[in-house]
Amino acid sequence: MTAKEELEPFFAPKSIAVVGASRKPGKIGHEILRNIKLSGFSGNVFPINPGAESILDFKCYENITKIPQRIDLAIIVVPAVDTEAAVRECGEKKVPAAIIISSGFSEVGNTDLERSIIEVAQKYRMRIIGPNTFGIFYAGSKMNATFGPNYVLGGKTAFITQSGALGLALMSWTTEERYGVSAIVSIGNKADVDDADLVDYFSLDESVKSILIYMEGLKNGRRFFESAKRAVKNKPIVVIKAGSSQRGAQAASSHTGSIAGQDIVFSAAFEQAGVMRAESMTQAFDWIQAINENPVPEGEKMVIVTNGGGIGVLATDRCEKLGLSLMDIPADLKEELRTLMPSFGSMRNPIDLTANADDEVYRKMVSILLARKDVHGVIALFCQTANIDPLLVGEAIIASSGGGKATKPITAAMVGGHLSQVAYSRMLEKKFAAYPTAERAVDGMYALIARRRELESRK
Amino acid sequence: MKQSKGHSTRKIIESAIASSRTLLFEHEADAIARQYGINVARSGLAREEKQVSVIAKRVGFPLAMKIVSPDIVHKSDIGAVILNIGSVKEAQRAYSKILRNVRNANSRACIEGVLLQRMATKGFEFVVGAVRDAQFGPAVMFGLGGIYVELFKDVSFRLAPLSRSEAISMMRQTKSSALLKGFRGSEPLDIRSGAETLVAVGKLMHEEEAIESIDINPLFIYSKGDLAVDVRILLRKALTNVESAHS
Repeated sequence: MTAKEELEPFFAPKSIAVVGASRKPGKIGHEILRNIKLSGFSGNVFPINPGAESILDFKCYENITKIPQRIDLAIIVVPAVDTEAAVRECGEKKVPAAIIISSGFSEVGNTDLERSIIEVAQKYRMRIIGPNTFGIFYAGSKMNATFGPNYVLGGKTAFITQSGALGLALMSWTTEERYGVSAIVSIGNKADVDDADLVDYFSLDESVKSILIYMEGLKNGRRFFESAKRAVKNKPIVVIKAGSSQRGAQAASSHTGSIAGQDIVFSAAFEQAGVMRAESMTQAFDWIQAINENPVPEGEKMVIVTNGGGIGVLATDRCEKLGLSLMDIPADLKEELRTLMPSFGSMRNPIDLTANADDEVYRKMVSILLARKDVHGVIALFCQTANIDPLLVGEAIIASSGGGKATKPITAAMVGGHLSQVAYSRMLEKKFAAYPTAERAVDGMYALIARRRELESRK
Repeated sequence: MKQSKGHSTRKIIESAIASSRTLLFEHEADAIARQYGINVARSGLAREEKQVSVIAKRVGFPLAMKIVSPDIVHKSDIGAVILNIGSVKEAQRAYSKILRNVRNANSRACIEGVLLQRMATKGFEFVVGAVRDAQFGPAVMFGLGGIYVELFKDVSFRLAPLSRSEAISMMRQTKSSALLKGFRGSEPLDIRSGAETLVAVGKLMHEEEAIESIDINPLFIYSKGDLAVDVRILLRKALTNVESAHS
């Protein structure tokens, strides 16, 4: 069986059993069942609870072996001491995949119990995610098998997280900040399935355009390195690796069962594999957003358009820091743009349209730039002014860049108060890489150029 | 090199493990480095006085002499290192002087011999190293060498084994790469030769799992070629301390 086939039951099961399902709202064994039901999962669902007739209208079974059909995925929510028996029963039932939600294993020093559970699972050739996880969300199967928020915005990124709390927080963000995800995997203690397995799987999953990993430590760094190096050929991987500071590393090792490795070797391995390491959550999501909504640029010549000198300078500084080159505007392009600009506007790059530029000016300017062969990408910046409507400018930028079907990369910043923020989130909803500051719009473009460089270096 | 004939890398490592040594002697580390094609300063170990003249003539002048002993750590402090030796006569005198100084400092020191090493033409000092990471396995390091390695930490890492183009890219990643290109009118340095050394160190780490770490500091890189002046090879503790691990 290939790695893809082995992990398939976790993401596309036809039937799920929840071992340790509860009648009581608020209990994890209840919330998971409720989420599976509300998320619109179309397969069969079987709660296992010896004391109940039915929960949430699903007929209960006292034991997984009593279910009269094949089970693809078991979700185990029983106390730690009962997990080994539960895994064994799943094995008897020939369940190929189980998520162990229960905690109380290696993360609190109980490594022997964790090891013996994995030994049982391996005997039955069952793959395990966890223990100590909050579950899996997978948009393609409309399956929210987590005890997190019910509604998750679908998207193009597979998010693998070693931190439970962070993953749960992200589930809420997806709706608030319009960051869509195609999958969320809370990887827990990684007793069996680890980052490398999931990278292998998602690199072949067509619903996934990019992979984002929150990582505290790895048990087998070399295997991750090999998997990531292969996967990056197909899709970008962004990693937020916690524990880069000495103190951070200590916190990471006491926080989970795994030991954070020497940071410098991690960095080297990521770089060699072509994995992009983000310094912060914000940067990671800024990168992912630009990558998901844009094609890879055909070159590195970028143009910035702005209606304010200040944000233009900030963006230029950021470009220099990240090693992005702003092209010199050729004479014929200057000629073409002259009609759009007041005489006191700047034709240098950043092109300063001045504060009077309205949506019409932005529309024409962006269209002209994107149509040019010698321009490989555009960063459009807008500073809220007294008389120009940010919403219209946002729409104009989207419309002129192909309405979400851009052939060249474009990012935008909508800087200002309430109206700019509304404009910015509407752009996100329309799958456009918009940001609230100029520097972040540059960061987004940087990710696309880094992706281009990686692909070029592999040629 | 004649010196390394018959001393296969594995043999050297096995003999060190058998005598519970984790740090290889200089001549052993040099011999292993040579077998992997690393340019090492010419050297030879004199185990008795009558060998000095033959080895000195073979190594060439000027040369440096130093004690090889597991019991002497700070060699120059006790006069167990003598530099700038220009003749066979001087070498013979140095031999006796080093042994006398060592005995005076530690009468029970176990002595392997005295190493005669050709003094290198000074070049730009770089450092090449390798470690075995618990999670990622062997990793190779390149950077600014000499006594300021720890101060400036201008280094880059790659996992081993690595290709020559990966080696070149890791060299270019350091700030010191400005020196490689030729800094303020000096000639550009032989980046390819340095890269070959990195590849060789990576290969050695990859093939010999008993090695815990390697330090070549300095590695002189010239406008043509490079030279490893001080090679330190450390073996994994678990292999030499089997008994203490079980107690």
